[in-house]
Amino acid sequence: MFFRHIYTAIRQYHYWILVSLLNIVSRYRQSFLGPLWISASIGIFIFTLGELYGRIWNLPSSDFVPYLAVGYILWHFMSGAISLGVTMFTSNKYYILQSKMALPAYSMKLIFEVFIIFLHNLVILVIVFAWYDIFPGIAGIFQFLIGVAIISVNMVWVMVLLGILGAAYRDVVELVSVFLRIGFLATPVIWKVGNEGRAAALGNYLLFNPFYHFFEITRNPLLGMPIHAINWYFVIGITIAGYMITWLIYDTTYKRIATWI
Amino acid sequence: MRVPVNVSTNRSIKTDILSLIKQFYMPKNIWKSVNLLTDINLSINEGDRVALVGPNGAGKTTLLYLLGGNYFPTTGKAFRRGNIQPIYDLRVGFNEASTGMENIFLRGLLMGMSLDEIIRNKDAIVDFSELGEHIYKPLYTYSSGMKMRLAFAITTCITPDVLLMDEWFSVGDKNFQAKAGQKMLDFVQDARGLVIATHSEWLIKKLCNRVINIRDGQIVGDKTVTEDYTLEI
Repeated sequence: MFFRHIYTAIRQYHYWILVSLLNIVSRYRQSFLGPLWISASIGIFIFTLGELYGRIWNLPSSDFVPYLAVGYILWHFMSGAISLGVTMFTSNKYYILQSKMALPAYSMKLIFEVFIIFLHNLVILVIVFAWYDIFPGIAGIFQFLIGVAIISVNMVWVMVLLGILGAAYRDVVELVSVFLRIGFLATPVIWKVGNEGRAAALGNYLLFNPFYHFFEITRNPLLGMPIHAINWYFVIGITIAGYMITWLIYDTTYKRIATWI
Repeated sequence: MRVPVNVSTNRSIKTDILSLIKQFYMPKNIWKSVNLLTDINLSINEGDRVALVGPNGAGKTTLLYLLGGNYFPTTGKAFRRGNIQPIYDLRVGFNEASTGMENIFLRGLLMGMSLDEIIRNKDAIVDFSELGEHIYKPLYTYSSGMKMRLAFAITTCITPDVLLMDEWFSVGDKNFQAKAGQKMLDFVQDARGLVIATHSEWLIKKLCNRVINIRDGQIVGDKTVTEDYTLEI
């Protein structure tokens, strides 16, 4: 039923696209900076941390700041979706009991919302790239967008799975937020992977960090770095395994989710 | 229908803390499965206007959720045909920060209307709710009566197939009630089927042709409504 529900949810796109857009627009209306409010804080983070950590790692800013910019914006996208996923059923109780939205539609709504914010943040990315005179090329941009699409597709199963866990057990929220914090530091976002010294600290264990692979296939094309085959293997493997596991769990639990929330 | 329920039976703080610790090490005590509904054999057909009556906690809302397809029976099967529209809360889907007009779309889409339907009906909705220029202002500026009127106008602009209602809803001030009361009755009469949980004998006599009595999760009565029907719980 999981895939059937996903299909139904996709067909209900009018609803979730409109709700996400309206949520974002209503946040603009109540803010000081308007549409900039989303990107401004990201921009400040990137520029200040870029300079600071560039000096810590002894890398030139033209090298480190764009790297950090792409990584941070992608991280913001992924971690936003994941943390919203855990509470997506518990906080939407009245919708679930009164509307005919298929359960995966809630994850699509949230992913779309986070995606719109991501699009705003891309403006910062363009500014950073223009500042350092980097142009990734059409192929690079295209591969980047493919990477983003792959991440979004994966977010659906992650959010449904976490949503189910979050509905069954109320402490999952805390656990997930801790894992996200660890993930941010353990994934090469504010540090660069290299071959020796501190940069190679994790060694082969880095391969066990799922975020790492998604970052590599999305970030590298934009910075002109090659993607290793092993990253693709992991991404494809994670996508398939994730959907299979979520399929299993969803099919056994979807009938009871409404009673847990 | 069986669901797990968290039970805790102690009163004093001391026994509470001890029992908390006990529950941690002997988890069997925490979850108890409770039968919310038992032995429901029910057929609701076209033209039936059913009133669900019973004391509070008897299972009326659970049965409504089952009928609506939001809950699934743990044993047995439920079959549904037709477009089943639950209307438990008129204002579900309203986003306080969006304008009235945007909320028409939000609420309408949530009810399963298509975008075309909403666009066709939006002027009629605005007229019926008598909100005028306010429709372009954010919802948090509305009084609760205004929100009710808008919610009501949106809800009643669809052509209902099967309606599920949990208690009748009161719709605002006297002036609007006069206008809305008849519209509400018409709206409900247009439906092919209706199931409403209610405590009001007047409503049952006015709207329904069948009454199902529920007590402690079981159906204890299923009769047709006649002229001299009196509500017994």
